[in-house]
Amino acid sequence: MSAPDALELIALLDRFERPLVRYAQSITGDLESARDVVQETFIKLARGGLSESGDVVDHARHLEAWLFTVTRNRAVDHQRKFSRIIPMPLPEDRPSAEPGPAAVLERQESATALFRLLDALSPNQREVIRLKFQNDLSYREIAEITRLSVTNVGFLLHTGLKKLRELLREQSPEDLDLSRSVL
Amino acid sequence: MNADDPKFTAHVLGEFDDLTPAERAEIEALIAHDPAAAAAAEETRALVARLRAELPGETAGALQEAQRAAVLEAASPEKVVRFPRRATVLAAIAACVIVGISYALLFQTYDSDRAAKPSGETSAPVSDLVFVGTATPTDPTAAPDSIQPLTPAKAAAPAQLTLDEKIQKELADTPKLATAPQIALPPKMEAMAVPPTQQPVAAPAAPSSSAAAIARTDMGWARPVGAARARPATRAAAPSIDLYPEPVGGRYDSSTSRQSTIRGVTLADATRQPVATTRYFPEKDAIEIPTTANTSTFDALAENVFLNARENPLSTFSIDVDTASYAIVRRYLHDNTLPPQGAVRVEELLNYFTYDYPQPKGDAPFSATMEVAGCPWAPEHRLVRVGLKGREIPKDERPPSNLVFLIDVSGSMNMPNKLPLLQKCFNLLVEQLGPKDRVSIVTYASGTKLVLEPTQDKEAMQAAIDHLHAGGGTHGSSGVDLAYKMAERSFIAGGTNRVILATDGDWNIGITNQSELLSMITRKAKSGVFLTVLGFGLDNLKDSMLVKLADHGNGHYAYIDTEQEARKVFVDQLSSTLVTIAKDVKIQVEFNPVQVSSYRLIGYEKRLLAKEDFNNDKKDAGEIGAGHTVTALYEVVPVGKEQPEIAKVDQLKYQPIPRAIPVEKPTPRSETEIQEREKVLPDAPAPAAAPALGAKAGTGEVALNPAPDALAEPRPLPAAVRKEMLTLKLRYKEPDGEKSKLLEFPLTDPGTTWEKSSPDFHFAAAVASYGMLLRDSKYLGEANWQSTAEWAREGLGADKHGYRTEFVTLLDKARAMKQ
Repeated sequence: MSAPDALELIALLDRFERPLVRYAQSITGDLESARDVVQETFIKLARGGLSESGDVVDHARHLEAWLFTVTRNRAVDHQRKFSRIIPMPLPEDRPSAEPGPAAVLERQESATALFRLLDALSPNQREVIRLKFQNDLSYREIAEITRLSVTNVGFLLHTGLKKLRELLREQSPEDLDLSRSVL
Repeated sequence: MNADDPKFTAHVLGEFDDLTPAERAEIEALIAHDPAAAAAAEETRALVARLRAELPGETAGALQEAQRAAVLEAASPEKVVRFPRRATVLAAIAACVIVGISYALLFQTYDSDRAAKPSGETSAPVSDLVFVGTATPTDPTAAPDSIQPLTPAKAAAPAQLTLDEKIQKELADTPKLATAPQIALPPKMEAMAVPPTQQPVAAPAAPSSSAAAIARTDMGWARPVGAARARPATRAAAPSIDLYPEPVGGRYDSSTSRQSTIRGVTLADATRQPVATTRYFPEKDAIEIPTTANTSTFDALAENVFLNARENPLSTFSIDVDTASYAIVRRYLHDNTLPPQGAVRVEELLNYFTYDYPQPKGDAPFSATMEVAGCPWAPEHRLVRVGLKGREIPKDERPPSNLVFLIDVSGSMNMPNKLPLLQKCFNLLVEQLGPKDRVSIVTYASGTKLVLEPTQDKEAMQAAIDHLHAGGGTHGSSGVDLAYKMAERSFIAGGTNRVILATDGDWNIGITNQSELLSMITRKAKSGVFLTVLGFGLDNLKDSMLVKLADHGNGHYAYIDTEQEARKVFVDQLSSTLVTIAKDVKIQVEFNPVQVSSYRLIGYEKRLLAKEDFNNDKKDAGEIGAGHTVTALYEVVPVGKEQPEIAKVDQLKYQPIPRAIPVEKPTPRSETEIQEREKVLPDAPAPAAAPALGAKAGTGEVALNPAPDALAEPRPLPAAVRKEMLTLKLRYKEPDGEKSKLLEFPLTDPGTTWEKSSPDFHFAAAVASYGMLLRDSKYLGEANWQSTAEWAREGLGADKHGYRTEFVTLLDKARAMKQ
């Protein structure tokens, strides 16, 4: 695959810009640099960076992994360069109240609770959990993106999920029936 | 193995790739038999379900518009290439690029030197090559339906002829190319020749010899004012828009987009190269990202050329009631800038004015008037004015209206000459509405919003209009979708159903999606909902897009530069604006080669149709509103007068009857020659071989073309018919009809001199001349600013609204700037 044409690129932007910005933001900690990182990633893609990498790209999943990989590398570089305390996400970057019934609000509250719990995990654990559940990537893809071994990814996910379960159990015994809070 | 093994978790997550079958079996057995393991698995599944449900809902910022645009530019082969100090590289690139650039681009160009505003010290180097690709939209209605259901007789060789016409036209247009007419035509050419072109410029690439040509192919008209918005880019948004609930996209954006608006304004105020660029591209990039961000785009159209009446006896085009070009030009002149040539569309200048045509008689929705007199800029030539007038509908008899205002409230609209003017404009319209009229309002920015449910409550309408505020990206297509849905929901049979779109046209819908949007509009237009497109602002007006939207969407396009213009559109000419009285109105003029040696249609370049389209009811054309007047001018060279230069094509090799290209055949050069010819052809009743020439007004189907063997020489015609200069044929459909009706009107030249022609005729000639002067037409002849102003003054007439007087002042202004 050569560099995508504008139409493909628009489709890719539509599909991946938000997930990538979100992912980059989880590394850089702020939206502006996350955007810059993702812009650079897409420009690399637009200029045929994908084929330059020498990889065989015939596969949408691979493309996705590539995007996440490049985004991650750049975000990490950025982070290293400007290593600073990760600022708390600005309130305005949180979802503003969605329209709709109270149930939506409730769900958001529980989501906020879940995000708070995620903060208790190690950065590694958080990252693989995001990649896995936010972006629906496989162990292997996550391994490729993070340059960890598949076993390592499995371990991080396992310990991360275990920690979350414990935290949830401690936090609200009555909320143990997690399945009820879903949907 | 136990539940605390990562493999156990992997299994629960469905990650089997790295588990051996034995491990899988072991884990399954564990879950089946160990209650603790089963519970752990269950707990993990529940957690995972929750993570999967909730994590993707985390707010995800999108790129800013400029960033997306930068990405798209990086991908586009038509990107900005900047080599400030390497002219040779530039030339080499230009030479390479030309091969890949479509011929159309050559025409979509104009002199950027003239257009570019002085931009201070930070301005881009003059050597910038900006290839802004406005994809020529494919016209979905122009499927290869070249078989004419209505006129089976003419299947003879239409495609070939069309091809010839096109080539001839194009060659004539571009002398540079005309020197090499024997270009090996790419095979695609055949296919392209069949579908009619709305834009006469859509043609295959032709090699050109000089790189210099490309250097002037700079069609991105760069006004380096701010850069927050660059090329159209798609903004992610909810893909399908339901009426309710509001799409999620609309919500998050309100915060981020406001931010981007502020940025945009800051940048615009600074009038500098965007800070953003340097920030995004810190180092060493050879190819820079476009900084020519705020651009207006106008499609440049090649001026119609003279056509030989014998070879091309038929001139076919769609009527057009757009007036935008006039106001756009006015806006430029008021800004002390000359308009880009592509912004000057003579037909829109002509149709900005109403002329004193009679009301239609009988059932016809419009009347047709023709006047012919001396051509003021070429005294040897004749000027033919074709005028249509739609039936007037008094205000109080206007049928009830179902209007949907579709309003662009994206960040780019947040300028004094856009949103506030737009609000005034719609408030004016609302004031004019009666109790039977219904309005709903849809806005679009990053998301689409139904701001006002259909209502007849004027106060609610005005409150909703007053509360509009701008911010966010522009996702135009979903707004269009919702607006049409609303219009269809409140459809009034027999009433006015219209979407009124107000925008600067700068929709972030990637370049290549234009055609998609146009085909969507085309589909929507079939629902019986008409469209009005109102353009606002100049800094990044996407005029070319709006023209096409109006054309495809059964609409007309007006440009609102001032409150007065809003008043013209929504108060003085409200009925014309709202009530469509006939649709798909097409004009076909057949010139009589006995009288006419050649002719040229002035303007209407964007509205040309293939001659086959005239009878093709599937082929969309323009609409005419109540009281609208439509004016077209032909410059006609009578037989015996000096022929203007007409490009020639080679004799056909394979056609037994070289009917289309009788280049060698002498056309009568003098009166005596004609008389001789007439002697040879005795007056006799028209034989069946040439029925079209003899056919009079009627609504039946007329075989337009005689049988091929009759074409080589004109057969005897009645004397009266032979004296006719031309026959005007009109086709139109009722607003809700599917089948067209035909009207025919012959015209014989009474020999009126220019001096004796009507004031309206003078005025129309002045307007055309104004357009030709602004476009540096090669057919200006004796016309100059001075004479044009005189003609205009002679044609002022009563000028109830002062439009004509304003024209005279514009003329002065343009003259001062041109000279």
